[in-house]
Amino acid sequence: MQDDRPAPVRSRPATGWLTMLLALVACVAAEVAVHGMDRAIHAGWYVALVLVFALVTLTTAELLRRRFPMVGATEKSRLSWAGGIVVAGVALEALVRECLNMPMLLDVLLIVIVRDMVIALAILSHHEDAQRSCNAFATFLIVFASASVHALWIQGLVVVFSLIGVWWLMGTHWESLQHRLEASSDQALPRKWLLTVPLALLGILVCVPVASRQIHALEGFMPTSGGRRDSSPMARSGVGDGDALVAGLDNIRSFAPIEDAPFVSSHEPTLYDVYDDMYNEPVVQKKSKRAISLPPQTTVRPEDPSMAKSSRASRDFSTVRKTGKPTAQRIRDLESRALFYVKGRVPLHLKLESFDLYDGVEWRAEPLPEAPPHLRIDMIHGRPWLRPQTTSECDFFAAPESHAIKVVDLDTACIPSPNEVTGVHIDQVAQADFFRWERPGVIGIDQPKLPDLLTVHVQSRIVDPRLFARTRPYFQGGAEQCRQFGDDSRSEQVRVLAESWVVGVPAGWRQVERVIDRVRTGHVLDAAAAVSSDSTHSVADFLLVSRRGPDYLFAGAAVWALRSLGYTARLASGFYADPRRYDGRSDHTPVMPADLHFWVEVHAGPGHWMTLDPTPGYVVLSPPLSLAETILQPFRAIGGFIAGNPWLSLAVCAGIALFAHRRAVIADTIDEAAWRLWHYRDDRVAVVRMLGLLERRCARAGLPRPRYATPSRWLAEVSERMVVAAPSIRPLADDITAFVQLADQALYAPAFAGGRAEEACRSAGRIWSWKHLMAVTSLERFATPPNSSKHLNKELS
Amino acid sequence: MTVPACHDMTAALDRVEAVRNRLNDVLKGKRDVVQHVLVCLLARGHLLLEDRPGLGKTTLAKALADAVGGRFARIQCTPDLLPSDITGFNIFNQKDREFEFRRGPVFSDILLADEINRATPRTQSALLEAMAERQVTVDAECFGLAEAFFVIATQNPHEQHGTYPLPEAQLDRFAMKLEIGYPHRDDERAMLAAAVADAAGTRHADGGAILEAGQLAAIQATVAAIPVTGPVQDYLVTLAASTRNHRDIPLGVSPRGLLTWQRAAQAWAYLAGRQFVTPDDVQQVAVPVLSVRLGAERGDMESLIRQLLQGVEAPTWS
Repeated sequence: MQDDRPAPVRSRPATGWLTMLLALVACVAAEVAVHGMDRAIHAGWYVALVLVFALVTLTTAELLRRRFPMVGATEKSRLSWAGGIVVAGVALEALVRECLNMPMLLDVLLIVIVRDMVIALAILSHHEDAQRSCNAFATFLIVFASASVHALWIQGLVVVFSLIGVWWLMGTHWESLQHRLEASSDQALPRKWLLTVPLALLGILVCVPVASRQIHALEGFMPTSGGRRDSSPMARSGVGDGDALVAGLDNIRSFAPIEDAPFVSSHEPTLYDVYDDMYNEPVVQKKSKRAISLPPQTTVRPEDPSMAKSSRASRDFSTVRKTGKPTAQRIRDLESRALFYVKGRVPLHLKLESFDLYDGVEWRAEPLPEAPPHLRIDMIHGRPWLRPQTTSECDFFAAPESHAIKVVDLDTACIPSPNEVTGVHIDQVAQADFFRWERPGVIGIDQPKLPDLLTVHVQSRIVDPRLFARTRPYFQGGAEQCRQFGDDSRSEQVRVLAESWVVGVPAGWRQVERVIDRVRTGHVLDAAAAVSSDSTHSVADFLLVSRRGPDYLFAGAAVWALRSLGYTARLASGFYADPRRYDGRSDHTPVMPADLHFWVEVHAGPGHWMTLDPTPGYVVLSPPLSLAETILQPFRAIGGFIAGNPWLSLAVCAGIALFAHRRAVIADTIDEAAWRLWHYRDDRVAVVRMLGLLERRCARAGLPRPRYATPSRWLAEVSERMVVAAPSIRPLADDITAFVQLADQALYAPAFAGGRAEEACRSAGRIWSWKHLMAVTSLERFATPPNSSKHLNKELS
Repeated sequence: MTVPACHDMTAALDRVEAVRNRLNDVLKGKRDVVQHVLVCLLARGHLLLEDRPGLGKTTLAKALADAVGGRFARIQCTPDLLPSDITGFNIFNQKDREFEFRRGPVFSDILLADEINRATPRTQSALLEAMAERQVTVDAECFGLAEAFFVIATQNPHEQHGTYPLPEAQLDRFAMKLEIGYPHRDDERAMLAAAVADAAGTRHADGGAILEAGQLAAIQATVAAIPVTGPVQDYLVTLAASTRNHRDIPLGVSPRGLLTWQRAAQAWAYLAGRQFVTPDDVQQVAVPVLSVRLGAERGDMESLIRQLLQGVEAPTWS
């Protein structure tokens, strides 16, 4: 053998990169499916996670490929590697479960195992066999994700996955052909097919759904569970609505809060009155005062006069059933403890009432203004939208967004809606006089209460503080009663306290923010802490004495403190759609009676109010972020943390840098300590473990063993180079030879008779020490690399 | 056959070392060639020397025969050489009125077949049975060859006109193929000086057999019994499989070739004074063992074999 260069590092073929891309797409899709589009985790964090995941996977893959090319070369090695990753993942889950009490569902755990397998195999994608296994698991993941989440961008991921998959298949096929072709062949990869086939596939995938947002081509071929006049027991979900509640057309036996349901006659109070041409028998509405007539094609006649109701946003199905023939012929009601459901971004403050005057004990409900904004109906995309007319034009609003309020049982005519409502839509209600202002900023219907199972769409907009530079807010204006402040001594104490909070803070939004923050952080939320019955000023008592109380005291105190500083503020009450209640499966957030809540509204401009919440644990809905902001958000958060904790961040960075710089020394010290502390009953094991230690040490010092060389031979070769770099070890030549022979014996002899093996190992640890190895590396870094084949040639000759 | 006990190994190694010194003295500056010749001898294989004329092939063979104490025979292969010229033939004895067998040069301990590729394929194949089974069959009668029968065949790779390249089946009978090459300048000067000294009688050249009768066979048996552990055998099998799956190698290693490879590695371990085989031993003998049987182009052979070895991970502790 003439050359002893390290084993040639296998480069990553194009199909390997494609495999990594496939794994990335599949893992992202699976991650979203596993977390069920949890709105508590912002999309920005998903993007950051994806970036971090891609970076870590790529780095590990390249590191493994360059430094440990033997990993994954054989089936056994691949299994060991992937198995190790999976076991580590499961162990981590168990640790998290035990330490943080965050258990993972079993099916989710299984998907996580598959995901870990995909990641492990993607790292080994420079081996062709690993690619096949990786892509098989990745395909399972993407199929699982697409079946679990009904989101448009998941379909986009499927399309991307398919395209990359086609490229991968073509590349793999071409590589297999290349192996069989003559080496002299000048055949090149047919690039036109590389482009044509995926584009054709993309065209098919894009054209079919774009035609009419429904995949008509698949109708009749795919099993469905509803929504398309078909019901298949084989379907987990169907084309169209899937397992969500869907509107029936025939044999209707239940009613649920869904918008496209047909209108049926009922004795429940309702907005709608069914005009039935077929039987010419008008329905008597006992409680409804007014009604809207509907065309016959939108109405059906119920089969069962006592129709069941589904008050939930989704259906549950238990696989554990009673045995025997089913007896119940009638569908029962699906009860729900929720007052209503919210579909859309949460958290959300849904106002029902606002309060302006305060006498120290009681807040007085704010009366309707004499001339509330005019309400009119606009037809948008064929649907009637109620729009309050506003005259003021302020430019500090984020883009409007819609929420669906699905009423279950709410005994009020007010529509719980966010601040700054810009539109209200109830299907088929196209007359403005069916609505009215119930409270300031709160629209209601012209009925005693909201009908059960009614779906109301509410469009609103949020005051975005980031836009205050564009349009300056006017915090001091607005109604006189919302600027009311007491002239008693307790109120004066509150003013002094509030002024101390804002010392040095510029007036305006910064001060408002500071007051809200001080109320939130300086007091304890305690729902059981009631105000004393003999209190004459509950807010002052809360701020100055008890510092503990329920949410209305937090909100009241914030309002009073803001007013003391001259800002216009009012108390608002209603419901808080808590993101912690969000149900990812049905994509709804239930609102319970316990979600009744108080918060603050600050005057931001003529007729405009801004929602603020000083209660700890309650968050105001942030404006929707742009794509750039979404991506930058986690990085901003990290930057904010660093800015807020400079010394801690500096210490952590210094620690990380030090660790990164000295990582090899630290790892080697730990490695050697582990060898010394281990009790060896067998001398052979001691020698083998010392060989492992020396090999890792050589690799860390930049002298990795070529995969085809035996450890003993490589150590002998390194020792020759060490003699040049560190002549002090020249007298130890006998020890070197002895240990090399001992290593051969330990590894390859059928019987081991190594006397004084531990002593030889300790001597080897000193000979092939970190210092000596680094001397070799340092010497060769500034000199011509030695011809490492000398030693091997010498043996050969 | 009794295998020498372990305590005899040192004495035997001393004898082998003496043989090595004798050969090194004869073939100056070719220690690696001598090492492989000894490996081939101890592994009970046959050797194919491929090089130009006048590089010491015959000298090496004669010195080896002299050192191991065996009979030496030489065949100069030509196109008109007949198989019976190698194996021997039956001749009618007028006096006894019956046929008697005249033994050919194959009935020796060390046989030098010079320029073997100049013999016709029919004659070349006559050596097949002798090399593989250490016996010859003449007129349906089998004759056993010497226990330490060792063939050194030579061929000139540069003169292909009028030659008959050895078929793969014939090549597979050889354990190794070696090239001697020109000696170094200093070695050539030493060679010239030694020739003058020999002629002048001022230099005493060693002569005579070093090994006793049957000692070579005993050492060969010892070599064959050196243990090869499972991981090393797995390594050998993996290497053999890689030769069969390589796109540039038309003919992979046969099971017979694999056995030869293992035996050569055992011999290398023996010469290193070890009682076990390591992957290094396998690698050290890979080039001469594989180059005779892979069927690839001559110039690419060594780099190809090196590439093969680098593609397979050496067994360690896993």
